[in-house]
Amino acid sequence: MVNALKTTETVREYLLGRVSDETTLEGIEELLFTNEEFCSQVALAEDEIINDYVRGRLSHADAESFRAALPADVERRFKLEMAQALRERALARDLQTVEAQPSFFGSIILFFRQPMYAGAFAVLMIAAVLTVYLTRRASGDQLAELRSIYQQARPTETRISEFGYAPLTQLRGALESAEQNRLRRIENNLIEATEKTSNATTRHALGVFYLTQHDYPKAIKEFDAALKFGDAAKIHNDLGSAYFERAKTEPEDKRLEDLAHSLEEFTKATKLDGNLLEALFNKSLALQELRMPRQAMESWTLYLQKDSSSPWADEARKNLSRLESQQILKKKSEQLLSDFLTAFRNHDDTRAQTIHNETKGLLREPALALQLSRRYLNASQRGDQADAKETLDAMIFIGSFEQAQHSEFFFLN
Amino acid sequence: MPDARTKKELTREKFAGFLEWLSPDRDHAGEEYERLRFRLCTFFSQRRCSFADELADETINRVILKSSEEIIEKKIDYCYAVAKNVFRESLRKERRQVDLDEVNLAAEAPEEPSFSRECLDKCLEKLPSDSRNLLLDYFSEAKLAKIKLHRSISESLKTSPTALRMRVMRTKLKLKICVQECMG
Repeated sequence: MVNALKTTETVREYLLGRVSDETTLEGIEELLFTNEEFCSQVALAEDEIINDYVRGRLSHADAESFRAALPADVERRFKLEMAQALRERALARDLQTVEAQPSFFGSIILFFRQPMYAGAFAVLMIAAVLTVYLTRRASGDQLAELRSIYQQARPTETRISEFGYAPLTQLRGALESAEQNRLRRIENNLIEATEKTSNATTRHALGVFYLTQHDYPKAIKEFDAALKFGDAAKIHNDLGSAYFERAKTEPEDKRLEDLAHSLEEFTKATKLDGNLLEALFNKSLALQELRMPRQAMESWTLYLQKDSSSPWADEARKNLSRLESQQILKKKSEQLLSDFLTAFRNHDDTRAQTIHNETKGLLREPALALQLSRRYLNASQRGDQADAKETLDAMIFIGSFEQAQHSEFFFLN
Repeated sequence: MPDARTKKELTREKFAGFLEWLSPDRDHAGEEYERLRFRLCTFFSQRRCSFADELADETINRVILKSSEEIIEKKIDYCYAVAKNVFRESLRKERRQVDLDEVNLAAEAPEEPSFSRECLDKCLEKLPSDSRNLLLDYFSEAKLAKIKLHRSISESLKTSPTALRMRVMRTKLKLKICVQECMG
């Protein structure tokens, strides 16, 4: 029993607040207070959980459990803040190291240039590759830092490349001053990196930063600049996200234009990389938003074939199920209208009145009065006099019925 | 919440006596104190208490008073027993607080001081350079190179990965104490 309590897994479960069995709890506590080695094991495990959380390496479920325990645990909150601050310092140091690299390479180049030009060229190539690698690493670190800020609530409805799952919260309060400082530092570092080396990686990273801050014009500008260095699925995906999110802030005509742009970018991303889940997810969202339900349903289904278990998949399933319900409702409405018109044409008044009675309380799709008004307008618009007249007669039939049966003038009017 | 009665009777001398009771070696006593506080905070937070740190302090306060009056043989066992009592009392208090008559709407949780990065920088400076570099190296790894880098740090220090993690944790603990002191 004691050995079972000492396993890494049990200790981790305990620290994530997922042990509720009283016997196990007491057993662990007993060991915590009486066994020095076990106490060290628990302390080490807690430290690792905090470090992993700061680096964004905890699974979604573990991160959720970790966050759930934070409000009541001042000590752990302090340790977490310290780990986050240490990581910031470490990243800042890395950046300084990266900036110091070119002069070092420069001296190597000078050293080799004189005797052997071919050798010097080779060194130059190595230096170029290393500079790209180091810039990429520095931008990557800044993005890791940015991702860690949005672990609890994601900044956009769409999926940004390489961002882990977090629910979309509309009511996220103002960021704490510590977070604002971190964001300022990240922005400065990314701008500096872009000024130093303008390439696809640095421009893309800066664009992602602006996207999370809802500064869509700047984000689009950076993504466009990044794409000039070459096609990349992730950049197309994030550019699509920027258009999609900007659409929400635009008037109707511009909104559709931005949505169409976003769909175009997501499609390019999926063509470049068919397994890029972010782009598949976003493409489904865009199709849904563009009121293309059939295509959206196909796209969500395709997404769920590639990702069936993540929290993103849960959102995909909800969207798919909403679209399916809407389709069923639409089908039902069409069927009801068709049944009513058949009864009306056959002068089967009882059947026609029954169908009307069943739907008249509904204010949405299936209500016959609504469907008939729409049918009348459509028929008039396309100049189909016969259809318009038949529909108007059907509306008068309903109105007269209501007047006679319930002294109700609403439908007749 | 801390018991006002025990808080009043605490003195600097009694606290110094308690540290000596934990360990006659002054440096070691500090470590023992931190270790005890860790045990207590973990115990209360995993029991889902709303103010785990305050209950840990209340437990320590009671032990300080008792240890200044009586000889206690099994120190940590005794602390655990007091912690269990404090926990039971807190449950009773929580139940009572559900009664609307006792809810003090004006009372708010004290505002927590925000973490001071200035203090962190000062304390990082105070650390020996190898310890400071160790911490920064540990946190600077790029995600893909993490395992490789940690392996290389542990190889360069001629130590195992677990020992490296222990060293990082201990250094962080020292840093935490320094930052807390700096923040007052």
